[in-house]
Amino acid sequence: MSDMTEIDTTDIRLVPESAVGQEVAQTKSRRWPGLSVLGGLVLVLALLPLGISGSYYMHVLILTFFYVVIASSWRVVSISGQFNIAIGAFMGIGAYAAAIPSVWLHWSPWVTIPLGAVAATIVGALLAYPFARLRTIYYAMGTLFLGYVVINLITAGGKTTGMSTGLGGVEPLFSDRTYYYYLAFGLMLVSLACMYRLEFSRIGVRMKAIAQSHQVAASVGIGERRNRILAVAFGSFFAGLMGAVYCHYQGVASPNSYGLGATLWIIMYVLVGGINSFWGPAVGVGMLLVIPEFFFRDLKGNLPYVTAAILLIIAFTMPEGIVGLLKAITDRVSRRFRRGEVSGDAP
Amino acid sequence: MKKTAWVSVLMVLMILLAVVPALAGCGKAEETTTTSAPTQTTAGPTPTTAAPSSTETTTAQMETLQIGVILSLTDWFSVVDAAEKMDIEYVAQMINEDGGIKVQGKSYKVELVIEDGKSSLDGNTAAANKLVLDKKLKFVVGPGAFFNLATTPIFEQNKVLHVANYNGLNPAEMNKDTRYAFLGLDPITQQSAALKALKLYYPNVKNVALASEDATFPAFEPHFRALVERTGLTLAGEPILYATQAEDYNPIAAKIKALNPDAVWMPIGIDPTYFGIVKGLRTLGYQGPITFPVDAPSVVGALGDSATGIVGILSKQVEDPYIAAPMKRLLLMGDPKRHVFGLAPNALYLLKHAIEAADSLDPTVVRDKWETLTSLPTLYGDGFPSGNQLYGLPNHAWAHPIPVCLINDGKVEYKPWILPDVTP
Amino acid sequence: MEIAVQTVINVVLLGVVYILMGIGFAFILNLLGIFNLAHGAIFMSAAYGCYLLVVKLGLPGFAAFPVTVLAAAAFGILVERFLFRPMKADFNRTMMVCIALSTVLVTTFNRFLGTRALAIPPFLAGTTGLGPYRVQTDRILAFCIGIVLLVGIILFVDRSRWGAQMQAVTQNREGAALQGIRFSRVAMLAVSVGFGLAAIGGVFMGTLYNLTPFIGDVTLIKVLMLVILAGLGSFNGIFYVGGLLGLLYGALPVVLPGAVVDALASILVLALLLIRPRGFFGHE
Repeated sequence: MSDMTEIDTTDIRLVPESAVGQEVAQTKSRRWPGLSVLGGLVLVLALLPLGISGSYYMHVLILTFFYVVIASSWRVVSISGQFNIAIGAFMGIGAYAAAIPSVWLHWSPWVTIPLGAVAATIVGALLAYPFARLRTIYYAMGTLFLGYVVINLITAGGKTTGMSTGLGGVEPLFSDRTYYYYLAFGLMLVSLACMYRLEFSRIGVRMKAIAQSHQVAASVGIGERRNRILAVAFGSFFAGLMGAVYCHYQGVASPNSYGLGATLWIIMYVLVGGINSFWGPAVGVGMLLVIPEFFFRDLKGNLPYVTAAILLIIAFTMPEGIVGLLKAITDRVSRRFRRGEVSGDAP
Repeated sequence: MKKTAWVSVLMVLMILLAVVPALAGCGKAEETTTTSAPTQTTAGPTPTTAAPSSTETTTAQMETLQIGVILSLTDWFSVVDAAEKMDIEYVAQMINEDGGIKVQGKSYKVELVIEDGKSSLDGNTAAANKLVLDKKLKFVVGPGAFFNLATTPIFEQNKVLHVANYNGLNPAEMNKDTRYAFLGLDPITQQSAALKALKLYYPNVKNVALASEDATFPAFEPHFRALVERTGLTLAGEPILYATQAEDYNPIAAKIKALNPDAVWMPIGIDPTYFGIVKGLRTLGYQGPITFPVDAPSVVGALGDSATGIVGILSKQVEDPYIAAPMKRLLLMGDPKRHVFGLAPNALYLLKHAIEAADSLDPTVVRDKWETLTSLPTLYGDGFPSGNQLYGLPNHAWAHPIPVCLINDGKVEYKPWILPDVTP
Repeated sequence: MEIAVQTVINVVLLGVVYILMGIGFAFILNLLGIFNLAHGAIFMSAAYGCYLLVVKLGLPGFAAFPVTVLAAAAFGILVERFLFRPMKADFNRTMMVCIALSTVLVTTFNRFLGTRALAIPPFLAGTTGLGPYRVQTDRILAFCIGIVLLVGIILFVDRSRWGAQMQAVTQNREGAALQGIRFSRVAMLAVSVGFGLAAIGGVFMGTLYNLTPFIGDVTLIKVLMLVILAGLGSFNGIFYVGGLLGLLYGALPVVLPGAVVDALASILVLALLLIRPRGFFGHE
């Protein structure tokens, strides 16, 4: 067990998935089963409303889609080495930027949702600027207080923001839940595709290089500040977009959903799934949101024990999250496989 | 050398001291938690164990009527709602013992489907969705406080009759278009009783300082101002607002004291904030009466010698000679010393009588009948509609007599219950 | 005038509680590199623990107080050994463990004791003071105990061998190891002292204010503010910044309405943080 994890961590540290060369040749042969599983999953999720239309599970799945995007957007920020504890606040900015005009000015949701996303991006990018000189733990703490400030401002916003009770009566987009399902599902697919594209593009590689060592990155001409701000803007766009759609779906916006507690749980989704993998956030949301909602909801007041137990199990047994463990296992299996085929050709 | 030796001896002593009483303390602490745990669990399952036995024995062929309940069992609002859960289960048991809900000659046993609202608007949306979509329920009790913001649209869209425990007066919670929304307690009437009691027992009071938690207050403000006027009082200074999450209430107490009012009125808040402010005021030497919703034993327990000059409303105790019969019965069903908020249980009680009056299980029929009723029994005695103009709906919001007590020097004196003024 | 006197007392008391909590948090952070997000939950649990000892077991306050603190310290040893050490100071994993721990504690107290607002009965009832300036006797007591503890902590860190070892490890872990300082033992000590200090803060808050299972959340934020503004690795800075935070949260509510206080104070903290990202008294 211990040597397996060791090999795995060195793999991840030294060879980011994006690195070209040998790794590509390896993954290409391995990609097909993964792709077909993914395709199957998309197909099942696309057809699911036919079966469960009008059930509570629709609601859970819609929430899941939202949180997969939000957790992934946090991870996008994190690949540039920024442990951002304000993602909930960006989501909140998007939500309130959409909710306030919707409630008080009765603007159409089709206007307010893009407005929310754009507002979150602009605010995110502007705020990222002074924070770009902070690194590691200082960045994390700085953004923690940034999130706290945003929530406090919303709470102190008087009647406009509804203070700590929140704003009610945000106009719904559709009356039928199935439309929401497809909207959330579609947005999730598009968002994930964009994020995938970014992470495995040249820019993504640059961001990862900055995360590894900002000095080395600077020495090869990668602008640290620019790329870090870009990462935050990119992440906050998706967080704000989903925040805006989410508040139209829920019909309410409340600071509770975007505060420190909510942000920490979003981060937990990513850590449980595996911060080093693109699919980690999705798996983490499945683990911490879907499983408790589907199987343990009847525990009610005792439900937090289940989530705490999941966290502890993952922390103790899977240092790289669930996807990290899966990867370690598949690596091991395929290595043994190859070793059997071509003797002596150990990687 | 000598010093280090001394330090290490001290450390060893400390660790010894730490380990021995800690073990003992842990053991004891565990004991107390476990002893308190069984009382909790025995209190929990009793209705469920009692309910099947009653079905088996009395009415084997009794059909069940599922009624949804939304309460926040986790996070900050569970301070209120965990207690409400226990009491609403007792009321369901009470209804079942009396033969269930009788509709068109048939008796229906009440079965509660309780969902956790998680003390957040999101959590309440999820709970409402679960009840409406999955369980397909037609009648729902709850939620309380401002959480109706999240649930009202879902219930209205699905034509589910929902009786809120009480609400935050936000138009999104209840307005002229939300025709399936009912309200177990018009929150303004409670405060009407508080001010009336204040005037009755402290006739010299001419002005009151208003201190409130700030989030829900804006919606209440005009109504409270009108209420003060209707009662024949004046406000001392501007209302003093504070955040629910404040740790230290002494600055707020100091601000209230600075207004030098005849009395202090705290309409909205949760127990810790009331207690914190009263403690602060009494420490500062403020002598005037203070009125807020209390649970008398909690107040005496938490405030100690600061518990004096308090005009309390809403404390339900068995010792109270004026207590309404159904409320007394509810109290005696569990530990009679427990803190009964009695909001959700009362909403269920109202709903039962409304369904029986309508003699139908169709929420629309029940609603139409309910809108014509002008009196319904509540846990507190005869209920009456209030706030028709305020909510824009006829007979949707209800009120009832309010328990009153005076607390002086840590002693509770129960007073006749006060009939609050009807809100226009 | 009266308000001013009260405010000063509030400021000092809040400051003392924040400083005690902050030092405990900083011990754990500096030595183990762990952001103990469960610090607020420990604080809350200690307050409830003391309540249980006093109310359910009938112990006098003066006995319950040390028992609670020592129990928290012992709990700290267990947590360090079984929860923190296996995580090997991995930031992400310790964060998960801390959140799980905090969730469990909050849920447990909420399940069993959460339905009533509780308060630990005062150690010394009544008020004392000069003329019209009355103060709860308990507050004076808390103030005195707090000051004594703070002096004790300074002496512990500066003068004792354990304190020297802790400082050595904070400054240079490898160097300390070469000098024969066993890291695991120092770490254990740090966590147990940290939890003990949180417990002291919790009991203070429990006697002076009221208990709910969620008081820890608010306090945790204040502690984070304190530690970050003071600067990582700085013990002395915590005293100054603790005083500043006490001033902000003790005095601002007198002049401003509720939510505005939090907003203003947090903006101020964020601004300070952006001016001096490494805190005001930190060293690299």
